Amino acid sequence: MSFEAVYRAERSKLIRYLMSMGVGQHQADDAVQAAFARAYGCWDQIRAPRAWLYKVALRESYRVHASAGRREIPVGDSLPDAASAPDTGDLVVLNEEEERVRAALAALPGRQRQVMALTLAGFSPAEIAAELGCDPAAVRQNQVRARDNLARHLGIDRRTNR
Amino acid sequence: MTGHQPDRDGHDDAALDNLVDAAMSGILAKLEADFDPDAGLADIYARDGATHTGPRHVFPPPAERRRESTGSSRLEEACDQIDLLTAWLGDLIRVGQRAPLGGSSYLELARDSLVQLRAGLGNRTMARPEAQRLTTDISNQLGRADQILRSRHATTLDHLASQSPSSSGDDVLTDQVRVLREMVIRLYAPAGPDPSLLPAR
Repeated sequence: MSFEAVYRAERSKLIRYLMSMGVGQHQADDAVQAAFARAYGCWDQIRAPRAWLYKVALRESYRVHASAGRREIPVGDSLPDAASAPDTGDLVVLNEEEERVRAALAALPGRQRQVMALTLAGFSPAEIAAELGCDPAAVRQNQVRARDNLARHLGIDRRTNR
Repeated sequence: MTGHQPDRDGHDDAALDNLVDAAMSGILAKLEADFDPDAGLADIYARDGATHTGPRHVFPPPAERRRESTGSSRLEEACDQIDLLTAWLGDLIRVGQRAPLGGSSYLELARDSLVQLRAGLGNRTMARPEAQRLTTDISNQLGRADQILRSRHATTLDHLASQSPSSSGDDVLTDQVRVLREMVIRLYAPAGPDPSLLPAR
């Protein structure tokens, strides 16, 4: 698949992935653009472009985060405060439900957040396990825990939905 | 989409799936509507320093590219690693700003050392002894922070770091500092393919 085709197909999905990892919209945009710029420089040497881009975009977001040094990403189980507030300067304006889900995903503990964000991006447990260097069973366990936490954060009583 | 089947406890997660799927689809639709791929591609081609006529026409021959990228990509990797660690320590320092956290001052010193190292490597103006001194300082400062955390908070720096948003989950902070040290050593290794790409000694 050509660089241009992958860029057109994946750019928005990558931004959404970083947003669900708790990265601000502009930082996500910058990080994704930087990841593609890197990919462009060595495109013919990248064997699995999609996995490569997701990994590098996340790393680029750390770099953007470090240089911006202003916006906090939520820690631990608590829902973010400043990060979840509507930002009028954002690329797109999320509605209440979208923002609630994004914030709940961003508030998951580190490993659960990454597993769930990659799951939502369409990666299989085996692919996620390969990406994170762990066992697929550990990925599935993190998916279950992440879902429990998401349901709790979103106020969904799963017992009533049997 | 969220990767779940109804579980043995009889949880039916349709409500959760519907909510998450709708929100994620909505976000994607908005990002797509806002997306100008031609402008984005033009930006990438501009960053590459050439008018786009297709990647293979713009790039130098593969052999030349490989030779050129080896030294600079090692430097780039080291800078990436520093950025990662700087963001990681920044998260921990912010935790210390919210509630008293023993060892915060050492975390700040380590971050300052990382920033110095990053600037020196990025500008290619740092001599090897200075780079090695800074990486040693970073290890020592984090070691002191770890000792204080163990004695005052009954936890370790690595455990605290694993809870931070910059952690990918499996990464261990002290391991990543070790990786940085090795990267810096390799950066100055005399057997490098192109000494002109290494920082000045």
